[in-house]
Amino acid sequence: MSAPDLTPPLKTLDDPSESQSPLSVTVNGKNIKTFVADRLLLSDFLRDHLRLTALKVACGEGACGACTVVIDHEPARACTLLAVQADGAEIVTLEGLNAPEGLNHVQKIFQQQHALQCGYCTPGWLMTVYSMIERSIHPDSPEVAQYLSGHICRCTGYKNIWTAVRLALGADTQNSTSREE
Amino acid sequence: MKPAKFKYVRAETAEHAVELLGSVDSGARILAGGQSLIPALSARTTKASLLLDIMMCPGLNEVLQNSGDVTIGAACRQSQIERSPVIQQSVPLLAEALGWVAMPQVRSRGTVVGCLAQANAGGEVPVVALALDAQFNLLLRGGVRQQMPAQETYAVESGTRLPVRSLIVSASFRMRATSEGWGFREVQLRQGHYALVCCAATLLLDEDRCVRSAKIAIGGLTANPFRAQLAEKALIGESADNDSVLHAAAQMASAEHPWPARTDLHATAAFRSKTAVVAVARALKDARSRCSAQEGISLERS
Repeated sequence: MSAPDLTPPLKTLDDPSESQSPLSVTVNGKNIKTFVADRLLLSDFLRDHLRLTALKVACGEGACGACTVVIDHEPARACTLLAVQADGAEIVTLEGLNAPEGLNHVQKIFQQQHALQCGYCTPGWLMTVYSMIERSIHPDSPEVAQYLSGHICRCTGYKNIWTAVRLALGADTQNSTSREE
Repeated sequence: MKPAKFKYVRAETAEHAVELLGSVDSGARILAGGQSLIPALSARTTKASLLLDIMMCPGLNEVLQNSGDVTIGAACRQSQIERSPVIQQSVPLLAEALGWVAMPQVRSRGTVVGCLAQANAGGEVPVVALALDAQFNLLLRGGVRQQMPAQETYAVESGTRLPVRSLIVSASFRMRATSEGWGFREVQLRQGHYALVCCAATLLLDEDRCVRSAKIAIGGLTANPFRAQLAEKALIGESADNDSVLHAAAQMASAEHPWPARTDLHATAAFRSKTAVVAVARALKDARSRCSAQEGISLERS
């Protein structure tokens, strides 16, 4: 199978023993048709092939949430999916939520609430928050804790993240636990 | 943490998947949501030469409501079933248990039937299947169809007794009877983690609030879940409002495991045994609080 002409350019698969399949996905509103190795993970496809490097790979087994993207309106791990499993899907990565300039609304809240330090886990959190806003999750809903349990942060601590997420979901600032307000 | 080479095939139909499953000596695996299989392939603790993706097969993404049960297809995702109004109303025990399965970011891709086939020792869905006497609808080579009860499927210390090269195309769960109460309780290390122990229970009471029927299934304590039949029998005729009756049943249920209690890096067998008593008692109390005693045991229809 010869490497197709691709936009954006993809790495050529030189190994003839590597099984490949066609892949057609929409990423951040852009249609992409290409061929990928069957064993290529979606996280590696997005990062290495499409150069969408906001999502991070940490645990590689679905536990930590750093690679979270939104697939067909639901947050999902990009590291526990094969790229070929996403065929026909609509994917949004953090790049798709970028504000034209500066930070988007949720990013600003994370900044104001000191909800990040090293920032490695942050893109994952932001994708989950985006999904929660899309689903109109109430800031006092028990679902908030369920969604947030899907992410691990090893430096900031969860209190500020919890506050930021509640604010992003429309919680009353007066009732938040922020030190700032 | 990258998988070794394999070939990926998107099965056109369930029959196609089963035929291909038998066409390779070994190493062909069914791929549904892949939330356990893909990490296992990445860690290379599992090997596969051929992955058969069944998610696009027609008919597998359906929830069918029959007179007494609800049938869930093999491609139905956990988040879809958890939020389904049909499931919330007719099989509320399953909807509640799915809230304990990993996290929403995993439930968005994982399937209900995939949990049943995988039979993870800390998995919740097989425990619900046992409590509700679920039936697994299997497809074998040559288009042969067969039903297998959950009870028989998990009647082995670990893994399943599913026939080789078969596919669970769907699973049928009994609908909640009118006035039947249900409870699902779990103890886990942290939210989203596997169950150290968990319990699915249902209760039906008579007019005097004495137990008419009880179902208790326990998971995590042993590698495969089991039904606590001695405790279920002992509860019949007893007053459900007497806490000591429920606690005694929980003690009995947690002691009647058919296989040795599990020890792993997260908990010892002794800790699991003690914790199971707590989980069962809580599940029974939840079930009791959801019972309404007035009506008979006719099945709810909508």
